Amino acid sequence: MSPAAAMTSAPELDDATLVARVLAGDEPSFEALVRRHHGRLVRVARVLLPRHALAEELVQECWMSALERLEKFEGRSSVSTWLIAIVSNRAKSLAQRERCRSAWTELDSALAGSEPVVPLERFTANGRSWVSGPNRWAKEMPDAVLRQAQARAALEQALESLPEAQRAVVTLRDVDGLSADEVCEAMALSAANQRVLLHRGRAKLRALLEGYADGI
Amino acid sequence: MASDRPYFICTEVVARATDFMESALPLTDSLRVRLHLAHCADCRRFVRQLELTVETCAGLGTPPATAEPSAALRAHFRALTQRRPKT
Repeated sequence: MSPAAAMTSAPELDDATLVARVLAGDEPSFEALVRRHHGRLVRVARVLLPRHALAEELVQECWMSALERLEKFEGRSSVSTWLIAIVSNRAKSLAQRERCRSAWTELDSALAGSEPVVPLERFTANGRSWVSGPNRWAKEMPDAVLRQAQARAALEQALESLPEAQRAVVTLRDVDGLSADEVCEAMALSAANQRVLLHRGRAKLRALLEGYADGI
Repeated sequence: MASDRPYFICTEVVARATDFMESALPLTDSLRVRLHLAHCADCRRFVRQLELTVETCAGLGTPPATAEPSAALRAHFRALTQRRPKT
Protein backbone atom coordinates (compact mmCIF):
# COMPACT_ATOMS: atom_id res chain seq x y z
CA MET A 1 0.00 0.00 0.00
CA SER A 2 1.37 3.41 -0.91
CA PRO A 3 1.89 5.96 1.90
CA ALA A 4 -0.88 8.08 0.39
CA ALA A 5 -3.35 5.17 0.45
CA ALA A 6 -2.32 4.24 3.99
CA MET A 7 -3.16 7.76 5.12
CA THR A 8 -6.76 7.58 3.96
CA SER A 9 -8.24 4.75 6.03
CA ALA A 10 -8.56 6.42 9.40
CA PRO A 11 -11.80 5.52 11.20
CA GLU A 12 -10.64 2.28 12.80
CA LEU A 13 -7.26 3.55 13.98
CA ASP A 14 -6.59 4.25 17.66
CA ASP A 15 -6.38 7.81 18.90
CA ALA A 16 -2.59 7.89 19.27
CA THR A 17 -2.12 6.83 15.65
CA LEU A 18 -4.68 9.37 14.49
CA VAL A 19 -2.88 12.12 16.38
CA ALA A 20 0.44 11.16 14.77
CA ARG A 21 -1.21 11.25 11.35
CA VAL A 22 -2.88 14.57 12.04
CA LEU A 23 0.53 16.01 12.90
CA ALA A 24 1.79 14.67 9.59
CA GLY A 25 -0.96 16.63 7.85
CA ASP A 26 -3.46 13.83 7.13
CA GLU A 27 -6.88 15.45 6.84
CA PRO A 28 -8.96 12.22 6.86
CA SER A 29 -7.34 11.34 10.19
CA PHE A 30 -8.30 14.73 11.55
CA GLU A 31 -11.88 14.22 10.37
CA ALA A 32 -11.94 10.77 12.00
CA LEU A 33 -10.69 12.23 15.28
CA VAL A 34 -13.41 14.91 15.20
CA ARG A 35 -16.15 12.38 14.37
CA ARG A 36 -15.05 10.14 17.22
CA HIS A 37 -14.91 12.78 19.95
CA HIS A 38 -17.03 15.74 18.93
CA GLY A 39 -20.39 14.50 20.16
CA ARG A 40 -19.01 13.59 23.56
CA LEU A 41 -17.23 16.95 23.89
CA VAL A 42 -20.43 18.82 23.05
CA ARG A 43 -22.28 16.81 25.70
CA VAL A 44 -19.60 17.71 28.26
CA ALA A 45 -19.87 21.39 27.32
CA ARG A 46 -23.66 21.19 27.29
CA VAL A 47 -23.98 20.09 30.90
CA LEU A 48 -21.64 22.89 31.91
CA LEU A 49 -23.23 25.65 29.80
CA PRO A 50 -26.83 26.77 29.52
CA ARG A 51 -27.40 26.53 25.75
CA HIS A 52 -26.65 23.88 23.12
CA ALA A 53 -25.55 26.45 20.51
CA LEU A 54 -23.05 27.91 22.98
CA ALA A 55 -21.67 24.42 23.66
CA GLU A 56 -21.31 23.67 19.91
CA GLU A 57 -19.52 26.97 19.31
CA LEU A 58 -17.20 26.46 22.24
CA VAL A 59 -16.23 22.95 21.13
CA GLN A 60 -15.41 24.17 17.62
CA GLU A 61 -13.06 26.71 19.21
CA CYS A 62 -11.58 23.97 21.39
CA TRP A 63 -10.77 21.86 18.33
CA MET A 64 -8.82 24.82 16.91
CA SER A 65 -6.96 25.20 20.17
CA ALA A 66 -6.31 21.45 20.37
CA LEU A 67 -4.87 21.46 16.84
CA GLU A 68 -2.46 24.22 17.82
CA ARG A 69 -1.38 22.37 20.95
CA LEU A 70 -1.31 18.90 19.45
CA GLU A 71 2.47 18.82 19.09
CA LYS A 72 2.76 19.30 22.86
CA PHE A 73 0.39 16.43 23.67
CA GLU A 74 2.62 13.94 25.46
CA GLY A 75 0.20 11.08 25.86
CA ARG A 76 0.24 11.19 29.68
CA SER A 77 -3.55 10.97 29.61
CA SER A 78 -5.78 9.56 26.90
CA VAL A 79 -6.62 11.81 23.96
CA SER A 80 -10.23 11.80 25.16
CA THR A 81 -9.31 13.00 28.66
CA TRP A 82 -6.98 15.65 27.20
CA LEU A 83 -9.73 16.99 24.93
CA ILE A 84 -12.27 16.95 27.79
CA ALA A 85 -9.86 19.00 29.91
CA ILE A 86 -9.57 21.63 27.17
CA VAL A 87 -13.36 21.84 26.79
CA SER A 88 -13.94 21.87 30.52
CA ASN A 89 -11.47 24.69 31.18
CA ARG A 90 -12.90 26.86 28.43
CA ALA A 91 -16.48 26.13 29.44
CA LYS A 92 -15.69 27.07 33.00
CA SER A 93 -14.14 30.39 31.92
CA LEU A 94 -17.09 31.13 29.67
CA ALA A 95 -19.62 30.27 32.36
CA GLN A 96 -17.84 32.59 34.80
CA ARG A 97 -17.54 35.36 32.23
CA GLU A 98 -21.21 35.18 31.29
CA ARG A 99 -22.22 34.58 34.90
CA CYS A 100 -24.09 31.44 33.93
CA ARG A 101 -25.63 29.35 36.63
CA SER A 102 -23.57 26.21 36.28
CA ALA A 103 -22.49 23.03 38.00
CA TRP A 104 -19.48 24.86 39.45
CA THR A 105 -21.35 27.70 41.06
CA GLU A 106 -23.29 25.18 43.11
CA LEU A 107 -20.51 22.72 43.76
CA ASP A 108 -19.74 23.71 47.33
CA SER A 109 -23.35 23.64 48.44
CA ALA A 110 -23.95 20.43 46.48
CA LEU A 111 -21.18 18.70 48.39
CA ALA A 112 -22.09 20.14 51.78
CA GLY A 113 -24.40 18.37 54.16
CA SER A 114 -24.89 14.69 54.70
CA GLU A 115 -28.60 14.17 54.31
CA PRO A 116 -29.44 10.49 53.88
CA VAL A 117 -30.34 9.40 50.36
CA VAL A 118 -33.23 7.36 51.75
CA PRO A 119 -35.38 8.99 54.46
CA LEU A 120 -34.49 7.69 57.91
CA GLU A 121 -38.18 6.99 58.58
CA ARG A 122 -37.87 4.02 56.27
CA PHE A 123 -35.49 2.34 58.72
CA THR A 124 -35.83 1.18 62.30
CA ALA A 125 -34.58 3.72 64.85
CA ASN A 126 -31.19 2.03 65.12
CA GLY A 127 -30.82 1.82 61.34
CA ARG A 128 -30.26 -1.92 61.45
CA SER A 129 -33.12 -2.83 59.13
CA TRP A 130 -35.73 -1.38 56.81
CA VAL A 131 -39.24 -0.68 58.11
CA SER A 132 -40.49 0.00 54.63
CA GLY A 133 -38.17 -1.81 52.26
CA PRO A 134 -37.77 -1.11 48.56
CA ASN A 135 -40.62 -2.46 46.44
CA ARG A 136 -40.12 -5.13 43.80
CA TRP A 137 -38.80 -4.06 40.40
CA ALA A 138 -38.99 -6.30 37.37
CA LYS A 139 -35.75 -6.66 35.46
CA GLU A 140 -37.65 -5.22 32.48
CA MET A 141 -38.04 -1.96 34.43
CA PRO A 142 -35.61 0.12 32.29
CA ASP A 143 -37.23 -0.87 28.98
CA ALA A 144 -40.73 -0.43 30.40
CA VAL A 145 -39.97 3.05 31.75
CA LEU A 146 -38.38 4.12 28.48
CA ARG A 147 -41.39 2.85 26.50
CA GLN A 148 -43.99 4.59 28.68
CA ALA A 149 -44.12 8.23 27.64
CA GLN A 150 -45.31 9.45 31.04
CA ALA A 151 -42.67 7.56 33.04
CA ARG A 152 -39.91 8.54 30.64
CA ALA A 153 -40.93 12.20 30.76
CA ALA A 154 -41.04 12.07 34.57
CA LEU A 155 -37.51 10.63 34.64
CA GLU A 156 -36.22 13.28 32.25
CA GLN A 157 -37.91 15.95 34.34
CA ALA A 158 -36.42 14.53 37.55
CA LEU A 159 -32.97 14.53 35.96
CA GLU A 160 -33.40 18.16 34.89
CA SER A 161 -34.60 19.07 38.39
CA LEU A 162 -31.54 17.69 40.18
CA PRO A 163 -29.20 20.29 41.67
CA GLU A 164 -26.82 21.40 38.87
CA ALA A 165 -23.74 19.52 40.04
CA GLN A 166 -25.67 16.26 40.57
CA ARG A 167 -27.37 16.65 37.21
CA ALA A 168 -24.04 17.23 35.49
CA VAL A 169 -22.41 14.17 37.04
CA VAL A 170 -25.39 11.82 36.52
CA THR A 171 -25.87 12.99 32.93
CA LEU A 172 -22.22 12.58 32.01
CA ARG A 173 -21.81 9.24 33.75
CA ASP A 174 -25.13 7.47 33.35
CA VAL A 175 -26.72 9.06 30.27
CA ASP A 176 -23.64 9.86 28.19
CA GLY A 177 -21.48 7.03 29.45
CA LEU A 178 -18.31 8.93 30.35
CA SER A 179 -15.89 7.21 32.70
CA ALA A 180 -15.41 8.38 36.28
CA ASP A 181 -11.96 9.75 35.35
CA GLU A 182 -13.38 11.73 32.45
CA VAL A 183 -16.09 13.28 34.63
CA CYS A 184 -13.54 14.17 37.33
CA GLU A 185 -11.44 15.87 34.64
CA ALA A 186 -14.40 17.69 33.12
CA MET A 187 -15.66 19.03 36.44
CA ALA A 188 -12.36 19.31 38.32
CA LEU A 189 -13.74 16.99 40.97
CA SER A 190 -11.98 14.52 43.20
CA ALA A 191 -13.00 10.91 42.68
CA ALA A 192 -14.67 10.87 46.11
CA ASN A 193 -16.71 14.03 45.45
CA GLN A 194 -17.73 12.73 42.05
CA ARG A 195 -19.15 9.61 43.75
CA VAL A 196 -20.94 11.70 46.40
CA LEU A 197 -22.76 13.66 43.69
CA LEU A 198 -23.43 10.52 41.67
CA HIS A 199 -24.86 8.68 44.66
CA ARG A 200 -27.18 11.51 45.66
CA GLY A 201 -28.38 12.02 42.10
CA ARG A 202 -28.92 8.32 41.38
CA ALA A 203 -30.76 7.85 44.67
CA LYS A 204 -33.22 10.62 43.80
CA LEU A 205 -33.92 9.10 40.42
CA ARG A 206 -34.34 5.66 42.02
CA ALA A 207 -36.88 7.14 44.43
CA LEU A 208 -38.83 8.55 41.49
CA LEU A 209 -38.80 5.24 39.63
CA GLU A 210 -39.99 3.47 42.77
CA GLY A 211 -43.34 5.18 42.19
CA TYR A 212 -43.63 3.60 38.74
CA ALA A 213 -42.60 0.07 39.68
CA ASP A 214 -46.06 -1.15 40.63
CA GLY A 215 -47.44 -0.38 37.19
CA ILE A 216 -44.74 -2.38 35.42
CA MET B 1 -19.49 7.54 59.57
CA ALA B 2 -16.90 4.77 59.70
CA SER B 3 -18.02 1.90 61.84
CA ASP B 4 -15.83 -0.20 64.12
CA ARG B 5 -18.34 -3.03 64.01
CA PRO B 6 -17.28 -6.01 61.90
CA TYR B 7 -20.52 -5.68 59.95
CA PHE B 8 -22.56 -2.88 58.39
CA ILE B 9 -26.17 -2.08 59.19
CA CYS B 10 -28.73 -1.17 56.51
CA THR B 11 -28.27 2.62 56.65
CA GLU B 12 -24.51 2.17 56.28
CA VAL B 13 -24.93 -0.08 53.25
CA VAL B 14 -27.38 2.33 51.61
CA ALA B 15 -24.94 5.22 52.17
CA ARG B 16 -22.14 3.25 50.49
CA ALA B 17 -24.10 1.65 47.65
CA THR B 18 -22.59 3.72 44.82
CA ASP B 19 -19.07 3.43 46.23
CA PHE B 20 -19.67 -0.33 46.34
CA MET B 21 -20.97 -0.42 42.78
CA GLU B 22 -17.99 1.63 41.61
CA SER B 23 -15.55 -0.70 43.40
CA ALA B 24 -14.30 2.32 45.33
CA LEU B 25 -14.56 0.93 48.87
CA PRO B 26 -11.57 -0.24 50.87
CA LEU B 27 -11.38 -4.03 50.83
CA THR B 28 -12.65 -4.47 54.39
CA ASP B 29 -15.67 -2.21 53.77
CA SER B 30 -16.42 -3.98 50.51
CA LEU B 31 -16.40 -7.30 52.35
CA ARG B 32 -18.69 -5.87 55.02
CA VAL B 33 -21.14 -4.74 52.35
CA ARG B 34 -21.04 -8.16 50.67
CA LEU B 35 -21.60 -9.86 54.01
CA HIS B 36 -24.59 -7.64 54.69
CA LEU B 37 -26.08 -8.17 51.23
CA ALA B 38 -25.77 -11.91 51.66
CA HIS B 39 -28.43 -11.86 54.35
CA CYS B 40 -30.43 -8.63 53.71
CA ALA B 41 -32.96 -8.90 50.87
CA ASP B 42 -34.04 -5.26 51.22
CA CYS B 43 -30.52 -3.87 50.75
CA ARG B 44 -29.89 -6.32 47.89
CA ARG B 45 -33.02 -4.92 46.29
CA PHE B 46 -31.85 -1.33 46.90
CA VAL B 47 -28.49 -1.94 45.20
CA ARG B 48 -30.19 -3.75 42.32
CA GLN B 49 -32.59 -0.82 41.93
CA LEU B 50 -29.68 1.61 41.68
CA GLU B 51 -28.23 -0.60 38.93
CA LEU B 52 -31.57 -0.57 37.11
CA THR B 53 -31.75 3.21 37.52
CA VAL B 54 -28.36 3.53 35.83
CA GLU B 55 -29.54 1.20 33.06
CA THR B 56 -32.69 3.30 32.57
CA CYS B 57 -30.71 6.54 32.41
CA ALA B 58 -28.41 5.00 29.78
CA GLY B 59 -31.50 4.43 27.64
CA LEU B 60 -32.43 8.11 27.69
CA GLY B 61 -29.54 8.85 25.35
CA THR B 62 -28.76 12.29 24.03
CA PRO B 63 -29.36 13.78 20.58
CA PRO B 64 -26.30 13.32 18.36
CA ALA B 65 -24.24 16.43 17.84
CA THR B 66 -23.00 17.45 14.40
CA ALA B 67 -19.79 15.50 14.07
CA GLU B 68 -18.33 16.93 10.88
CA PRO B 69 -15.56 19.52 11.18
CA SER B 70 -16.83 22.95 10.16
CA ALA B 71 -15.39 24.70 7.12
CA ALA B 72 -13.54 27.09 9.43
CA LEU B 73 -12.02 24.18 11.33
CA ARG B 74 -10.88 22.46 8.13
CA ALA B 75 -9.32 25.73 6.94
CA HIS B 76 -7.54 26.07 10.29
CA PHE B 77 -6.20 22.53 9.97
CA ARG B 78 -4.85 23.21 6.47
CA ALA B 79 -3.25 26.48 7.51
CA LEU B 80 -1.57 24.84 10.50
CA THR B 81 -0.37 21.93 8.37
CA GLN B 82 1.25 24.32 5.93
CA ARG B 83 2.96 26.17 8.78
CA ARG B 84 4.31 23.02 10.44
CA PRO B 85 7.83 22.06 9.45
CA LYS B 86 7.90 18.97 7.24
CA THR B 87 9.38 15.94 9.00
